Amino acid sequence: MAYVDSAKSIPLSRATSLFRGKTTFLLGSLFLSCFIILAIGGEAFAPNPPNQIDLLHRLSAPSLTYPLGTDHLGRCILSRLMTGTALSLGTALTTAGLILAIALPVGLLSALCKGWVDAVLMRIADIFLAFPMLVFALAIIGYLGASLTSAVIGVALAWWPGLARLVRTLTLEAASKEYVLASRQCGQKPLNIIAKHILPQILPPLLVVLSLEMAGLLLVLSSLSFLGLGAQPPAAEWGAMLNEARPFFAERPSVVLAPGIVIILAVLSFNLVGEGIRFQLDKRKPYRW
Amino acid sequence: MVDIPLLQVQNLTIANSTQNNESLVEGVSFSLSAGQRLGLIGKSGCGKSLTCHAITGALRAPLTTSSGSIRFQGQDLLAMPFAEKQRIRGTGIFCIFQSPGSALHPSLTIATQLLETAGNVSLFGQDAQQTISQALEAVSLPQHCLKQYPNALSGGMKQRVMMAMALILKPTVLIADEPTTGLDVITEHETLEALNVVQQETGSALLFVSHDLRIVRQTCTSVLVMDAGQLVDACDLNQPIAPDCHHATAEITRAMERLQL
Amino acid sequence: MTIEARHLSIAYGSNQVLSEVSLTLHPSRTTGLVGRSGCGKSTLAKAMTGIIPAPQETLFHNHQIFFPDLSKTGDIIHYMWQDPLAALSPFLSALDLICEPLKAIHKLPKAERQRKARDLLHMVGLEDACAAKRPHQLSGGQCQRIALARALAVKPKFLVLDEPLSALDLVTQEQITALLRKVRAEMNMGLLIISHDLQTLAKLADDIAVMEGGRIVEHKETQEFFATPEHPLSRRFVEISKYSAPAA
Repeated sequence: MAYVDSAKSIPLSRATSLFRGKTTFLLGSLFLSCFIILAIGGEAFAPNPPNQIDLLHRLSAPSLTYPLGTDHLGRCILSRLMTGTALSLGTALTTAGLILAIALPVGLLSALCKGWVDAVLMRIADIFLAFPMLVFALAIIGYLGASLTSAVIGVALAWWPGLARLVRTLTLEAASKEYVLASRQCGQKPLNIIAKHILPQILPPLLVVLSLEMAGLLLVLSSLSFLGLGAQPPAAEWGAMLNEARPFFAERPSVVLAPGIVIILAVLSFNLVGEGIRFQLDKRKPYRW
Repeated sequence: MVDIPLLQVQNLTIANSTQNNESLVEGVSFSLSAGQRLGLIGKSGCGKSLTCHAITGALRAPLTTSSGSIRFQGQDLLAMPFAEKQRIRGTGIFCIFQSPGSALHPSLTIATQLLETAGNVSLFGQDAQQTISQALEAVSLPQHCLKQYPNALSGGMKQRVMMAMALILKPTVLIADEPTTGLDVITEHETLEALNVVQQETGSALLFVSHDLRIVRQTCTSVLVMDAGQLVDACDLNQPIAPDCHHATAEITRAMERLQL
Repeated sequence: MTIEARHLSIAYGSNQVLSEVSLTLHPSRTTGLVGRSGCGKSTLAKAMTGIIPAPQETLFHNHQIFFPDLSKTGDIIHYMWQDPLAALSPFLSALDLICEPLKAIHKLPKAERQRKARDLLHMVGLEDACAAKRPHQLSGGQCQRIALARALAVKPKFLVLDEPLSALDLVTQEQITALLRKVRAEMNMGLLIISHDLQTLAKLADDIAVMEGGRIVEHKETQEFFATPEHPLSRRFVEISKYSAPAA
């Protein structure tokens, strides 16, 4: 307990809390909503058709017709980036959804059933965790054949155990709360207890973690596309664009930089939103009587 | 000698700066002179603890003292530079908080923590050891507690460790903020006795905060009543409570009488 | 009809929390359980209600072996936590909290459920304004009333109250004591009230049991207990409860 010099520390702490809480969240949401708008109407906003080849203007500098220049086939980079938003973010979201769909039931089951169910499920998760994540994803993609669908499945299968462990831990803590026991005492059925008392407790922290993982997923999916294992040409996907542009980096750096920066921005916006949500939810009571 | 109050709180107002400066404590004024034992009672949420926190300077961020002054031996605590306040803490004003569990460092033994306290009043080596064992005796704690960590002690014992600290520091003003909440009646009784011992040995002024008039009357002679952030009444416990008292006072006394055997 | 613990022992590692405790609860009778903190009062109460598992063949309901399973026996013997705020879900409103057992145990249709819940709210002395509020928006005393209304909605044969007053201020303590007296008079319910405050128990209990170190060391009718406490601990409790009474 320190003597807080209230006259000085208040404006400062207010400024930092504003910056940490609202500003990051607003900034992140602003970026993210831009991306969402692009994902919905990307093709309509795009100045040129994304796959229109203009061999006369290969690797051209930014101009009025091609605001970010063109790639090695003379396709408008900006248009491709805009059109690619839906695919890039869509795959990341699908993967996140798939991960949640595996991790949530597994985590809940093992935390609530305990005993051998818990042991079996968690050992399976451990086996999955024992492999390096990317190597495991690569193995699955290798088995399924290189395509965007197999990239999504591969990443989801490699990614769920970590989240399932988190769900299990959160559920264990949530289920031992006195009010959950009290509700069981009042005769509430297990499914109702999960829906009414456990999910509301574990979903907020889970969504925060997931929004932070989204950034990671986006990167991994882009890297897979970059390696040629995800989206296949001529699909406009950010990672795939990066991959295709690789040989022309020396000739015209913007070909590589543009999709790179967009990926960074998307990752950043997910991180900012995640951080913002975490800060908003992590509201400790400022004082207690 | 002119009777200068040791601690003088004037027109203290505590507000929440994030919620359009809504006042939680409003215009509280009282003074405490040397050797006085003053009780502060009120229902939960009336602002008793906040007042204590303001005096010790432990208000957390969105809460601020928006007006008023707290004078300790004539100096305004609110206008004082940090280093000066640091000096007053402990030996000047010492506060025993509501939850003893969080007031002691969990990973240091009681001996280490008490030695550190003794160091604050320039007691080292043999002298410190001796003072500590005397202090433990005074609050009737066994000596083997010294080797233990706080988690091995019960709530009442931790509270008595805090009181032993008070005995070592010999503060001029001792604030006890609901020191017996969560303790069983026997422990409560022992804790209050320890508090009496501390007060007698150090001669400090005592501000005793509680919701329970039954406890306050065991330690204090006069009592202030708080209700909804304001001081509403002052009573002398040696005399029967006046019939024209504030309704909050009446409510508390009535509750006490009904709970009595 | 009784609930009975026979030679109930519980240990955590080398720490013997309860040793050979026997206690019988009778219908429409109030038993007070006194003891210093850490003496095993709460553990006994939790074991008898199934919050923590009791060893086999130590609990009996009407002389039949009783397996308290929270979700099935909450309407036979029901436990009420010490901290009302922690035992009420922060996601539900006061009314929904009271409706929960009415739906799950008594299978009442929605309209009737809501009407009954409102009746219970009034019975424990809360206004309609509290119905839509969630626990953290209410004071400790109001939360304790809601927890009580919820327990009454379950309508168990036996209700165990763990320190129902210790988290409350004096004025609220007095109000809840009065409420418990009313409940005791109106409902045909066996009560076990845990407390360390004999003054409250004197007002509520028919008989008082004293615990020390995981054992029941004395168990007597209230009147008799106050007149002739035998065990040193009982004498100390009675002495202190008189000490805090006013000199006049």
